[in-house]
Amino acid sequence: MDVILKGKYIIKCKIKAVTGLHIGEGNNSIEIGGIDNAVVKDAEGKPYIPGSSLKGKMRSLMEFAEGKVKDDLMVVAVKKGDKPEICIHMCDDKECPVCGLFGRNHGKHVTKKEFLKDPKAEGRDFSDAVIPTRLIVRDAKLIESSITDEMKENLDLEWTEVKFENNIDRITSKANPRQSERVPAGAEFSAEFVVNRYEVDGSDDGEKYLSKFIKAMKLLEDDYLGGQGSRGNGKVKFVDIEIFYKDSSDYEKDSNDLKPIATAPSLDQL
Amino acid sequence: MATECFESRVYEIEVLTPTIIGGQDKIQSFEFVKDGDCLYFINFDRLFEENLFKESFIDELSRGLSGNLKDFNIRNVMTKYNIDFRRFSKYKLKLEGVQKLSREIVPFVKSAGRFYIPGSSFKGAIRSFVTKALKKDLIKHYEDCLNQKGKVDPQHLSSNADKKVFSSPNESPFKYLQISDSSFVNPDDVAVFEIKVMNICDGQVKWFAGVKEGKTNNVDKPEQSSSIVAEGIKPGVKIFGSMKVEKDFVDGNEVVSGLKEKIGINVLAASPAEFLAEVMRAVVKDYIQREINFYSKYNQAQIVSEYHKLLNILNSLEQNQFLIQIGFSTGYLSKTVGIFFTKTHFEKLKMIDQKSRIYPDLFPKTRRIIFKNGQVYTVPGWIKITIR
Ligand SMILES: [Zn+2]
Repeated sequence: MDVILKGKYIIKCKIKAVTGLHIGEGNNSIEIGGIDNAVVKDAEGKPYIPGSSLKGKMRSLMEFAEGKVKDDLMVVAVKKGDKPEICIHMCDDKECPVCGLFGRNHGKHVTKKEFLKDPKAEGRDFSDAVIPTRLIVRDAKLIESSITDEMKENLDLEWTEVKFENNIDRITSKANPRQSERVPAGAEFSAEFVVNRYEVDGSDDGEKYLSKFIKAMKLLEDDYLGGQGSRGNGKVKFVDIEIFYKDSSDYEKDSNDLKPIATAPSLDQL
Repeated sequence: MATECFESRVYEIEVLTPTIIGGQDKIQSFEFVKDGDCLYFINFDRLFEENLFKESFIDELSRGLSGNLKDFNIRNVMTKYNIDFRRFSKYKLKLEGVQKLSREIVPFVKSAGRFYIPGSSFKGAIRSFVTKALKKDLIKHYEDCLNQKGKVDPQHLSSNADKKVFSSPNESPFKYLQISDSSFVNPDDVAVFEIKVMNICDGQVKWFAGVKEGKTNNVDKPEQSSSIVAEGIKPGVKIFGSMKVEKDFVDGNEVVSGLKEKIGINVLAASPAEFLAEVMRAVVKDYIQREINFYSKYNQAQIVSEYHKLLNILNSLEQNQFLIQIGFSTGYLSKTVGIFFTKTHFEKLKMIDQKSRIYPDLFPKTRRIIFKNGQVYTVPGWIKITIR
């Protein structure tokens, strides 16, 4: 397979937390002197949105939206004994928008369907279809000024708040409080995404994957990011969007003053 | 697959009766100043910051706040130093016919100082009401929990039943119901309300007046009873958020069993959101009717008329609308499956939950009532939802 890099679409925007945002540290360890259920923070102690969280969530939303959540189209990513614990979509269809945008892993994959029949199934390699991942998602840094002084006066921690939640027992009505840290609504993060445009065996991607990516952004706005999303957290909005295109020939020249090919205050105006 | 099922919809909440969703720490009397029928909530950060040079003021303030000054009155101290409390308040709220200001105020839940309704509170209330619509054999799981042997923590009594009915959180239909936090509520739309606890003693209406020598004291006259004072959203206010009711919430899938097969009532609605609304309307109607019977029995004409108003609203709702009671002080009945319990159930519950005062003959025998100008006014927490 011949793969030529034609150029890169660079999408710069802000991610605005419309409701509180909780992206956990991945483990439930208690920070020293901290609280249960902390949010992930950078080296300076500021909360941020890891690119991997954004990419993972967008991928899973795309899997649903593109009709890829079927036993024969899902591969077992993590298994627990004889049970498939985590399944994601991966396939060798060269036209697949999900795999094309978000990438495929090397190595052998067992589909969920095969696994349920035989947990020891060996699986198969998608190497033939593996081309470099088109989408690159950078970590999104907190825009400090988005957390105003007025908000800061009312925060429990420097950049974040502690939300208390009660689980109510349905027989006794006794409350079982839990706490979790979250970035308050209104916080903004500066985000950058890159969508590579390839020519695969003579066929040019054009804007296909850029528009698939914009679809993924829309799907995320209609869903949530991070933890406790079905209970209020994690509604986000993409704002101040700028899309640039950098042709591969631009890399040979000095091209710092790249002009955006599209700008919009929000997705619905793009 | 149609894209519509990925789209979230807007929910509108219209507050029908004062709605209180309690936040974490009670607001203490030194944290606000009463001026006429308004309360000003002091911004201590700013007060300290801008008056740091006034050493004796800071000193007096610190001693007062640490509880070392008897009869400490923040307003007097500020007046003494010529500091205008209005300039150092975070927000002010109107007292809605509050006659007895208690020493502490139940704060409304806030995010970075802004009032809002958490999606978790809203969703929790929906889940509570949904349990009242469950099929009989599923309700039985909750009854079975009352027969557990050995010691059970009343905080987790229902967890076995919850698991049997809705499965683990990962396999629960409720993961297909997303409810975002609401938009922020302007402080002008929030006020301070007075709540009293009505307690039925020997078939008579009494009012809770605190605990005396380890015994609860209930009095005939509400003006002699205790008050809970709380921040609440005023009736008439509208707030918004987003909501996604997925098809799997109703119909389920290979892994998760949907709500449809769990519900004991026949639902006609076509879309998932309308399914939810229809279930809620049916359960809430039953709930309101039971409450009307209860309050009628104890001659609470004002509350009965309030519930009739709610019932009229309920009966005129569209397919995409429902009513629900949410938040602080909505009581045992709204939060539990207790609506199905009989005397025998409550006798068992009393054995397990010895800390709560459970009276098997009549439980719950208390209700929290909003008072206005010393009179019984309404019941808290009723809101009207429209899903757009
Ligand atoms: Zn694929």
